[in-house]
Amino acid sequence: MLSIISRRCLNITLRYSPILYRVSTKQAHTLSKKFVTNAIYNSKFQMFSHNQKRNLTLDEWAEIGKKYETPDSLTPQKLTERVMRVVNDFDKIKEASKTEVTETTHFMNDLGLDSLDHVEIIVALEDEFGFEIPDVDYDKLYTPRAIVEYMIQKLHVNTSPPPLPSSDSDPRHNIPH
Amino acid sequence: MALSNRIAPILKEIRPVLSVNHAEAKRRVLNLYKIWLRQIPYIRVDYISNNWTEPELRKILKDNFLQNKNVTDIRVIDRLLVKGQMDFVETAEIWRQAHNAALFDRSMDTYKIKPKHFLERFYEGHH
Repeated sequence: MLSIISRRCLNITLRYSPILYRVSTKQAHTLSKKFVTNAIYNSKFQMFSHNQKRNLTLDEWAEIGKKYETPDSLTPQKLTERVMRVVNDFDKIKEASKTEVTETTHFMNDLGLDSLDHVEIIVALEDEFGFEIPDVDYDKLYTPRAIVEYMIQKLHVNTSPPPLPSSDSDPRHNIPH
Repeated sequence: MALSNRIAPILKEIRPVLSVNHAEAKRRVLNLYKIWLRQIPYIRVDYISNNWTEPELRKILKDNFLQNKNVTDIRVIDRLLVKGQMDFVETAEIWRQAHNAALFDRSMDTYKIKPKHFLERFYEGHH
């Protein structure tokens, strides 16, 4: 009962949200105390407006819809992009030439980083992907390709190719009679 | 040698402080480095009067860790780890002040560096 009442009240408040419009008056240029105290009487306030939605254009609807978009699911290509971006943003790798860093560059052997730099890279990856990488897995993450494979395993990224369209019937509905 | 064969095996083993082997010690060191790394943006703000930037702080952290890179004794490493963790807690809880935190930064040392090369000694004079 109470929930129904509260829901009805909520609906009412949403529809009739107060919008305060101020229409300019002749005395608007003065900043006297008298004007300030009599502001409500001098200017017009339109307290409760009806539904303010008018006919919106398609572009305006698209702008509204952008708030509610969900991101596309991860693909291995996007994953590699993100990983390479994180790796290339690392201070020491930036100083060295960027073109050298490929998917198979080993951090310790090829780039000459030590274990503390490796920890920095791993912290950057944790910040990027939002989950904590345990100590046991530090040994696995010495090349960008290994990092990508690890992420595919941990984030359950779909690596199978998309199904080709065909005119066959849906096999899920092939129920034997 | 002959004597070492007669010494009881229990005397050969040393009671560990924290870690039993080098692998465990390395794990602890890397974890300590990681928590200091994550604290760096907060250190910058808490001790803002030192005018540190985050790359500077990372360099300072790196230098402090590399200072002890040639240590091989596990018990010494463990003692250094404990000290590092105590320093971390003091820095994170802001029990230090700005000058205390700046002790880690060697570039802010104010003692006079002795001149090494000829020209610098020449400018100093014959002291």
